[in-house]
Amino acid sequence: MNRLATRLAMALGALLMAATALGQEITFWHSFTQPVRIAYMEQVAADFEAETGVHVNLEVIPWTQMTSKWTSAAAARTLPDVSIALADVAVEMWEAGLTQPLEPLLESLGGTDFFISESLLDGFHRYEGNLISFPYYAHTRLLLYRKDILDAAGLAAPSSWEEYLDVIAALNNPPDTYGMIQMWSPTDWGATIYLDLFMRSVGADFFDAEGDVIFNSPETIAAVEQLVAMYEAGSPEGAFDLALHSNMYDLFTSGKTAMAFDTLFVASSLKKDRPDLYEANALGVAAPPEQDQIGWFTDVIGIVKMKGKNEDIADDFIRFLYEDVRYVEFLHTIPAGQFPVTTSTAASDGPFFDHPDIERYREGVEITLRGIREGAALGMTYGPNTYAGLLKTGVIENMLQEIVVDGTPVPEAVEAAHNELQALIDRQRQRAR
Amino acid sequence: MQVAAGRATRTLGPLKRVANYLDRHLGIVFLIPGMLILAVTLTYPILSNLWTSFTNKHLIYPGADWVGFENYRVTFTDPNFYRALVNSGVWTVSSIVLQVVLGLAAALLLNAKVRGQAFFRLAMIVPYAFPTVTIALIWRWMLNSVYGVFNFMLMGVGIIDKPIAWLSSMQYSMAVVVLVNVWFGYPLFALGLLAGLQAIPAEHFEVARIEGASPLQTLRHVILPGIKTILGILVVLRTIWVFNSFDLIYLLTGGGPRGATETLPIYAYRIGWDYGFISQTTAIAVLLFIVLAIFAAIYFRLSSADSESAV
Repeated sequence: MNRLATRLAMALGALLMAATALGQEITFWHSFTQPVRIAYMEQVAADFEAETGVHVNLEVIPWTQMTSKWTSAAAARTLPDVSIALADVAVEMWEAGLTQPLEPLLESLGGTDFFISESLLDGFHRYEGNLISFPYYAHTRLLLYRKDILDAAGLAAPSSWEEYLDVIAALNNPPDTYGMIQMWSPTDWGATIYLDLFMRSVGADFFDAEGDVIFNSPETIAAVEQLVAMYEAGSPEGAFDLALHSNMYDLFTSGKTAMAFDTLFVASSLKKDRPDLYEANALGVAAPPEQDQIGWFTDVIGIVKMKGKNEDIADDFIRFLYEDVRYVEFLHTIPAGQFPVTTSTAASDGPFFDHPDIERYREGVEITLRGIREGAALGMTYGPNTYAGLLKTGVIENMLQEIVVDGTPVPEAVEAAHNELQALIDRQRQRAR
Repeated sequence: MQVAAGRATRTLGPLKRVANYLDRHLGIVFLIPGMLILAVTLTYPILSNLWTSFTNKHLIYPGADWVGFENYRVTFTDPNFYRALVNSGVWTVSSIVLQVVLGLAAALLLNAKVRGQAFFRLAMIVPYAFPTVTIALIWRWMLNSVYGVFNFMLMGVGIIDKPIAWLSSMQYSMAVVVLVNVWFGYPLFALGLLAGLQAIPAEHFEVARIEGASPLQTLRHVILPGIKTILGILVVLRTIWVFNSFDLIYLLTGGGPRGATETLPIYAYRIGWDYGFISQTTAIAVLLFIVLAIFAAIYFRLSSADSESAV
């Protein structure tokens, strides 16, 4: 009798929820441009509508356009209810006063234990004591190498800085194959990512805990010298039109570059676009450079909730995204490219690991999981930082170009970049006051 | 007679007087909706931009305070502004000069009734048949330093022995983006000038031929005077577009390498959208507006001269 009553109450509740939600809608922005992820999100929206009666408008905003999109939408008052956001964008939205603190929603999910670790929340999502975003999935930059090319040359994947220089020099055979092409176009921040990996491997950083620039340290200068030496040993001269996000995949699959730093996302693309390389097991994976320590660079893709009139529905939708079966289904749209952040799905015997591609790249998966535990986002060693976005403006790329084109001594160029970054931050701080 | 009319007006009621007034100024009444739309869509953004240029509006932070000429001061003390100004000059002048020369040559050829004229006219439309984004990406692909077909061909015929980074070389990048822009823009000149050429009376060419004028003399004394107005209008209009253009050069080089192809619109974009100092971007936009207003004034002067000569 009790069970019947409970079921009746639940059915009534669901009916009531659907009835009150009838005709309502929310807008969700995501940056998943691959057809498989777009299709998944469309299915989620349809499922949510079927369950609650709330229509979900989906808008796809490419990562590179997110800042211009949200700032324009804020001016036009056309912001979404929920959005996917990288840590730097989430902190900017928070500073603009557009997003909601997520502590109440976290409580309804079961508290901090819902996510894999408190440090993940602190490192990527907590800003000035507020939980400004939730993690949705994570990944780490790894050394990806063409196993076929390194095997043919009798070489193993490098680890220390010296090994990188040796392997790059040994592989370099231009114009057919370059040891490791450096992509220094200022149109994206690929060079900054590469530099960050080497900087972190000697404990250097862009910012201190207060957000001031500490780029001119001896460790940073050594890391820049290492990157320049790698460019000279194994990159096409002056090829500054190459950008990590636009060109790396083509350069890697064509064998023009034997090595690159990227995430295991590449494995999934390889299976679809280059089954020959996939079947031949041509993708090798290793940890990022290790000198004094491993230089982890981790991205945690987050979810933010906007201030607005649909906040309760937005809460329901976010909870809906995290439901175990649905969440794992999402992670498997790019197997081994998106890693779980919820405790229930991230367990080593959990459903996430039950996938042939994750099994196939098990070594890379293990490295990635360690990177997620130990790494930090660009410029965010001490947690979300409102100035980290300035690292994506080409300052580092232009500095590197100046060194190799004009022959500017590394310490001098590093000092100039340090001053440029600090001046930008000082000006922004003045405005923030 | 006038006295009688005046008496009649005085005896009319207020409604009738309004009706009479509207009758006399019906044109203005019909213009009001259009003027209102123009005021909203043109005047408001200009005034809003001007106002913002005197504030400290930031891309992220809400609200703004009045800061007077601070954004102009920062702009005028930034060496990158002057570099962008010079780049804009080089980009605009070289693009326009080459487009005029190539466009005139193409127009003369098409006017000479060569075989396959229809094909050539159609071929000239090609750059306009695709969005700028598509064109820029295709050129970027062809000119890529590592796998571009351009390097492949030049190396194949032995002109170069190693790949050249066309779009990221301090030496070549500006020349290359100008050439792409010339390819993109010369058909407009060619088609416009062809129309101008065809408007020159055939007798003028006939007289020149009978008088024994050389091709160069015909060009100087018959063709150029005949097309000077349309040429002037095309040059001014195209100058405004090229000076103000953003998409093609941004998609090709992003303003690089190290600012070598950074024109004023790209500089303004970087300051506002990369660094977040949107109020400084509006100050740069005001400066751009002043430059373009001068060109627009020249355009209107030429247009009115053309109308008068046509009358």
